[in-house]
Amino acid sequence: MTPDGGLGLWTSVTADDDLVAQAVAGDPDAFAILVERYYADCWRFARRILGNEADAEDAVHDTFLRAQRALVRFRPQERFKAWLFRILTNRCRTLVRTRRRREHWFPAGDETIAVTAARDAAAPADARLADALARLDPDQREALLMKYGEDMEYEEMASILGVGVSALKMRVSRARAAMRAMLGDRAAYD
Amino acid sequence: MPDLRDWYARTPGAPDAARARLASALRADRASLGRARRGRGLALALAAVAVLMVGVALTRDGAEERAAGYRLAVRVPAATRVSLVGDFNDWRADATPMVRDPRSDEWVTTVALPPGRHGYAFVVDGARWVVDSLAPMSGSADFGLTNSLLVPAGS
Repeated sequence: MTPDGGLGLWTSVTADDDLVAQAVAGDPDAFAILVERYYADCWRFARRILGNEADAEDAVHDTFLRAQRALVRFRPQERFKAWLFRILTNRCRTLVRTRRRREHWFPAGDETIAVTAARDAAAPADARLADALARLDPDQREALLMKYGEDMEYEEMASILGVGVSALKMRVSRARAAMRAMLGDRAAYD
Repeated sequence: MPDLRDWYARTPGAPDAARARLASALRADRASLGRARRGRGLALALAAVAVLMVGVALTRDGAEERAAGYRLAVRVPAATRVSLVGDFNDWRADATPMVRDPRSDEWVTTVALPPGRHGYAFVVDGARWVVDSLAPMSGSADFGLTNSLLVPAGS
């Protein structure tokens, strides 16, 4: 089996199921292959959700440790990546809640905006996009990145987040509108 | 203004050191599971708790509390091995294997439980996750499965 190279593509469900079964049976190399296969996807999502490398590393590592311990709970009818992302999303949410010391709240009229102190130091356009994303409601940010970053189908997102498809479509729609309003680009996410 | 997809795809990768730290942590976690299995002793007193499960026959023979431990007995037809998992053993499927009692045809084990609520479930043949449908249930935010809760007497 070969890793997917971190391209963010869904790999064969059958192959993942076989690896999980082998790992449950005690083969440490099987789980190492799964880590290699999905580490980049998990890292990319956590890095963009949390905004910095330190938190992303904590979230991703905690995710894989929990996954290794709980492989026996994985149900083959589910995609392994969806199962893994459910764990990852919960880890990210926990970190967001417990590490608010990095956030600064700036009252803006009747609206309070949260801006992460750790931001992309790259091009100004990238920084504006990162800031806009950080200002989104956390649920909207999650949904937007799953849809436009990970290219997930709404049904898979629903299984990961435990929310109905209609509600997720609304979250993504509102997130897109909010991003356009902040960035002034009506065509960015079409 | 960069496209979100493009921006996402250009996310800086994890440092090599981060991957190495994870690999080390995973190895250490597997090693600690092995040590726990080899060194685990059962200095426990016994108490009987019976549970009834869908598709599984069980018996309730009353509470029998000895010292600070609890005995769990469950009947699982056609199982070749059953283990108890819960928050008291970090949900490790290999931490608390149950033993079949040939006289009663029940799978039994004993665990030491401090006062309080405890989540638990059963792993059948190393692959099938089974919960106690007649005991109080609890949801799992991480894994989407329900656990049964056992509240020891006196908690």
